[in-house]
Amino acid sequence: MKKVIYAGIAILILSYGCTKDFDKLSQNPNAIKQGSAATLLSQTIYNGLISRIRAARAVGNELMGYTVYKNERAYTQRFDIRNTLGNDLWNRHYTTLTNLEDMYNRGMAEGNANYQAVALTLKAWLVSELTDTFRDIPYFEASKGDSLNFLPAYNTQEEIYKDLLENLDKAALMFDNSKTMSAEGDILYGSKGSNALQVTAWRKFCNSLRLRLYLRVSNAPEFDGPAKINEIVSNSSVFPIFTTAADQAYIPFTNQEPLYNPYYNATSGDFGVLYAPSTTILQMMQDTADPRLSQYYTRAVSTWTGIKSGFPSGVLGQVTEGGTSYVNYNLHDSPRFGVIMNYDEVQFILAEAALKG
Amino acid sequence: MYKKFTAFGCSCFSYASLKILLKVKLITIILLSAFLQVQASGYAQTVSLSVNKVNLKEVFRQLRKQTGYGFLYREADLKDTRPVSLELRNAPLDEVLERCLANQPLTYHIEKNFVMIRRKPDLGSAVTVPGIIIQGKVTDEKGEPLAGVSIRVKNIRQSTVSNTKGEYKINVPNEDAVLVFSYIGFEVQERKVLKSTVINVSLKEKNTGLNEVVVTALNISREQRSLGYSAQVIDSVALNVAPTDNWLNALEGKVAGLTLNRADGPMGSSDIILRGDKSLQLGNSGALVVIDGVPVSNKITASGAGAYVSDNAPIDMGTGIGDVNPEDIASVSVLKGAAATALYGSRGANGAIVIVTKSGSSQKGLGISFSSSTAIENVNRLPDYQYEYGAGANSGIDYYSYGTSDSGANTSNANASWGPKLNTGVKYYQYDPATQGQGAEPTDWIAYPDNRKNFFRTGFKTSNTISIEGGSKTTKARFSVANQQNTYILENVGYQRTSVNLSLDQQINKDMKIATKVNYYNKSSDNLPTTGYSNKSASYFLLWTTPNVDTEWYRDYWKITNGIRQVDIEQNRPFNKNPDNPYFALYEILNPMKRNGLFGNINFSYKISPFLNFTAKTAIDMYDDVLSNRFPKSSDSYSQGFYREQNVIRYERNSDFLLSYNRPFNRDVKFGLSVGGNSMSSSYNRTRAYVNRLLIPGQYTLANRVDRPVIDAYKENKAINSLYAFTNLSYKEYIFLELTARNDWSSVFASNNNSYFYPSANLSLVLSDMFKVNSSVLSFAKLRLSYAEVGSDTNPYRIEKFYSASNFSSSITNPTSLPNYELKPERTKSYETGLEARFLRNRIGLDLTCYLADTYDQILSVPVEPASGYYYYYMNAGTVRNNGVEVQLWGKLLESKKGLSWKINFNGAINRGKILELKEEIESLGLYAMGSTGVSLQAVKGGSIGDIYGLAYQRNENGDIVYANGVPQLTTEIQKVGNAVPKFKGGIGQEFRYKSWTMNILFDGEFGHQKYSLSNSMLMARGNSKATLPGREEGGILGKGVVQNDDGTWRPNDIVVSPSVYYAAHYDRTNAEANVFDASYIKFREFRIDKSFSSKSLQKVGFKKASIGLYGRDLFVWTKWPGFDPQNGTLNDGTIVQGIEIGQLPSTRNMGVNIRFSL
Repeated sequence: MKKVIYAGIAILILSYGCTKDFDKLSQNPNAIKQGSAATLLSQTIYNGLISRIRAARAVGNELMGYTVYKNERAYTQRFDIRNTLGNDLWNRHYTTLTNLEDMYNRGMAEGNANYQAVALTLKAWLVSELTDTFRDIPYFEASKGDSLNFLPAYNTQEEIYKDLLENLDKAALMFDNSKTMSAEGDILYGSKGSNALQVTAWRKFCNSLRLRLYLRVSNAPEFDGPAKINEIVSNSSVFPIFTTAADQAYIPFTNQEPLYNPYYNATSGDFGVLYAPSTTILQMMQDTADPRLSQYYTRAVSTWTGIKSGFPSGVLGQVTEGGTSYVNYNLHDSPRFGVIMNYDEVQFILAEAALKG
Repeated sequence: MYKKFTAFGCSCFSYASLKILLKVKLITIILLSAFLQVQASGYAQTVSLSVNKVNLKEVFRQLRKQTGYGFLYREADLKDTRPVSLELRNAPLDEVLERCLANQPLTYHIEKNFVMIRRKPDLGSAVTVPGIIIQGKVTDEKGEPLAGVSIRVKNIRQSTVSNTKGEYKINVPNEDAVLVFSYIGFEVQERKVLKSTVINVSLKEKNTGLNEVVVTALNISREQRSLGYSAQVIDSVALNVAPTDNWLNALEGKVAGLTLNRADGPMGSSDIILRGDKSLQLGNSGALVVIDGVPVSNKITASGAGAYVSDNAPIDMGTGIGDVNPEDIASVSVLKGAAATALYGSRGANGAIVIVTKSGSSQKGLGISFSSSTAIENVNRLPDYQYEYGAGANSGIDYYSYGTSDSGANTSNANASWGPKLNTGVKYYQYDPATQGQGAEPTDWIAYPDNRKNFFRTGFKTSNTISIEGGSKTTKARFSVANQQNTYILENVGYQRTSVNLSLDQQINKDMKIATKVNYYNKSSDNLPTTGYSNKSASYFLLWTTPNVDTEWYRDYWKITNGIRQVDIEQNRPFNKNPDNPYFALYEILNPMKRNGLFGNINFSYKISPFLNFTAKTAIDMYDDVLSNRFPKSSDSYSQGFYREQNVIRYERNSDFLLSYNRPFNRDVKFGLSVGGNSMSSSYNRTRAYVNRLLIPGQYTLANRVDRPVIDAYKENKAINSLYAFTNLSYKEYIFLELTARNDWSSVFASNNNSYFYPSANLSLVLSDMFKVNSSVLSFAKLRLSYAEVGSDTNPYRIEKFYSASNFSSSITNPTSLPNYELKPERTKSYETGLEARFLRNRIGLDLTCYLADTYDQILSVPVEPASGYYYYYMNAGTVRNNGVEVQLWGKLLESKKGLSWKINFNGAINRGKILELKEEIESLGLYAMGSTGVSLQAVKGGSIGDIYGLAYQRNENGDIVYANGVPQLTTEIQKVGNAVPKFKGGIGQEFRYKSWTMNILFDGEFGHQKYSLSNSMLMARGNSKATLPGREEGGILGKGVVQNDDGTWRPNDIVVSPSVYYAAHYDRTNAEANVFDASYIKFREFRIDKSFSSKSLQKVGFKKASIGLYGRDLFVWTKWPGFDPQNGTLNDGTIVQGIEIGQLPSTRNMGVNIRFSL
């Protein structure tokens, strides 16, 4: 009897030291170890879009006077740019870029050039927004957290634009109709109907984006912007661009899971009431009898009342006395914010390019 | 046969009942007195004895040395015994004792680790002596019968013992005889017979508190004197002084160095922090809770996420540990330091609360007891609201109008009270609840004082427990059923809990024992309150309402449109459209929950040889939660309605064994070695599904939807295997040394880092025995020293990168936290020294502890530069040093012969938590941030745990506040504005007794810390606090500060602004400096007055004992805090955040009555 117990104890002790099931236990059952390039697309596009909308609302609208935040600490409308103001765009765009880094590498491993090209295109979209906002930013060393580089070096805007454009030039020629793209993993162009149409749509987006970036650097001779624009426009078979509104990079929010307007659940107070239009924009829209006026804003009591953009600290009570017009709450679930690049912009680019010669 | 007879036969009933009492008495108190001698140590079961004509006293001494059993006897009983001559080798103790006591007038009995020696009851011979027969009953002070009390006639060899009912019968020679009543743990009483034949006696308990037994790590009972580290025991009486929703809260104010971080609401979940937060991750510093050797989850089941303006606001659904019925708890040991818990491994690094539940006793017959508490609950403190001015968006508004009226445009949407003065006789068009619109006529503009207070009702709680216990010589059993009902101070909020508890203990043969304890509970609630600052929480509503509004007006919460009440479609929000109608929120936005839980263990122990013991145990803790949240259409967060279901199944299994070898080397040196192992595996499974738009209003199922329900599932599996060993050495019962070693293997680390070892050592020196102090001043002195290391693991899935699923089809995405394959265990090293001393014949006691604990290599999710592609990286970084002093002082100030006694005890603790190190590249670590307001808890190198950061007033070089346009300017960067950890905390408890009356009073407090108050910001910035009255009559305020001139010099601020501008600018929520307050408080924590009954009439009805008590909890709070309660934390994402108050619920005062009786 005793021997049995001793033996039992010995076995118990031995088995205790054992850690052989641990490998299995340490695997995360809630996530996915590795996915194809195609799987990294939809969420990436949506993330980029949302960051852009949020930045527009928090920064762009205030600086442009589309809105004036009705708060004592409304720094931005006063052009008092606080350190944290750009965090949202910076943080979101950079973490989104990780997916594109992976997509490019997976695309290469899978031998699917389309995803390499898509990754380069989307990267150019996001990085150009970052460098346009912040000028010099980490670029070549960015998104290298996986290799433990947590302090990426900064690069100049010139270097960045140069690389982005080179990549876009390369991407524009990489698209290949014979390589399959996943239709259901593509919220932007997955519904085009056929693989060829889907790839072509991406190709159009890529070239349209090239137009945007080349126009932006058209005054810097080293980029050869005008010639490049000319090359794109005159080779529409090799470099197709948006030619109808159906081509544009636009995702209407269905407000069905997961494709929500980011303000879908925002309250009327948080979304609209605290944001008044500036007197300038109100005046402009009233002068031109702009039909968008009542789409964008809600009347105060009976009149259109704005706030002068740039009101100083301490006068909030005075400027808001009697109430102001404010941002139309209907916009919080509007499907129309999902614009990456629309057809109108391409038309404007072409017009501007033509104007500049 | 005769031997058996003496041991268990004629006196069996008295011994059986003695056992119960011994269980009670011995565990807590062992008496050292002139009458009885006690010596105790480790235990061995066989003995070798070689004596020749040696007196019994010496024999007992030898047996004690060999076996470790303590011997209890009265010197006088040994007087006329015969010397013993014996020669025995490796004989069982029973046999040796029987041989020694053969033909002696003595008998023995073994209880726990003690051998009780007493006179053989002389009932038979009593008859032969002529004289008077005296009978009566012996009870304790509470009237509880005492069994086994020795009653003897002075100067005559005539004695007896009382039976289970405390009754006795004895023959005395004449009326001059004196009866002497004596009993372990009680004072001896003498009574002259005189003419009475019935003598009832009430014995008084001795004031002792000497050799307390403490249940330490791995559920090993140790004598307090042998411990080289601090351990404090709270008995079940202290826990039940003033019953609370979560029994853990009854520890408040009673344990030095214990802090409870409590969440709002009826469940009262709390994190138990011993000796300060050690971790730089919130919610990671809680102590381990162990019930009967089973670690039980103190994880808060919280639905929801952020406390600050979140759609998914947090709801406290309670913890597993909170569901234990306090009536089932026998004792609680608080093991504060790492030394105490080195044997619990990883999870004991933050200290442990070790709970032993009640077991059955081997008394014959049934023991049935019943306890019932009924209490009312109301708000114990309100902010200082102003009721002089009504609603108005700013100070410029000098009229009120509900909707447009003759008075002017609508002003009723104002969320602030800067409007016209109330109660002046003026009339305005106001809201008419009957029509849900503008009143037909202007009505008096009056205040509704107490409109916030009246929003709360009186809560009501009942708790009933019935327990049955009984047993035989080999079986002990206890069974209890309890039910608790709670109706909270918010309407339509409350819960019920039913629990069933079973304890069975079976001696299979003389070496083997099996035991089991099982606890099943069922808890359910139809609605629990939303906490935090969000549109649907009650606290939000209270911060948005104004003094001219009666909260009753909100009762009709469905909107009437064209005469039709829009039930399930549209709520009625008569005033500002931000808060949900509060009654709509309470009656329609519901958070019901149901939980079925079970924890328990099966225990096997086997005495392999007299020196070798083996125990094995398997324990399980599991529960199944079903939670849901529903939002009707038109609710602020989900305008199209919302429904969510969440199911959680959690289980944890622990299997362990322990092999212990104990053998004395010689009479002075004792040695014990134990080796054990544990295998833990846990799993957590959560499935959640929600629909964001309801198809048909008012129906809450996942089927009632516009879109497909969104489902997310989360699983977590983890295993830890451990081996450990510990050894105990003692010398002459005054030096005790314990060494422990443990190795853990945790599944959360990579294979090269998953094994970690840690040792500990502790030493106890009983100085008073070492130096043979024999003084009437110093009764006892002991020095403790300990050193311990502990390693801890972390949550699983932090070593390897996995992509997260996205809600888009065919889509995944990178995580934002980067795992780290090189993660290694977090470590704590702690040093502790302490002194225990008792003075004036144990009437005054002192326990002083100093400690220092470094927690380093902390596993943190460290923020990294997002340009790297990640927000966080898991790494070992940061060292936190906690050091502090703990004091306990107790004294028996008064002890009169008439039965009046007064005991007082004090405990206090000082803890400082410093952040010694963070990783080089990290400037600061944000522990919690309140949205983007800058108000946050930050860990900075060189800073302290609990540092509150935020924007502050901008000041010039003289420290004057800088103004512009009449309002103060704020800094552009956040800075430290306070610290949330009390500099000192302590409690003073007092107990008064007079005959059958007992009164307990407990005060406690925390001092010298600060807290940010969002409630204050809201009340001030919106003119709802009394503090916003100055300046209103004048219509303007000139802020005290300076303005910069063009040449850079300063001039005093010269711009007067209106009160609404002034207060709104000063107390804006981003101004952390203005909204940080001293959160020091003193609370009248507990009060109880008890009367116990022992009258005969009671016994005729069949009661053994009965008592009734009145109690109160959290009766008063003294504090400068501007909100409801300076103490409660903020529940956020499943953890409790201290230092930042975000719309809290009131703390409550409880008053109740408790009845107990047993049959």
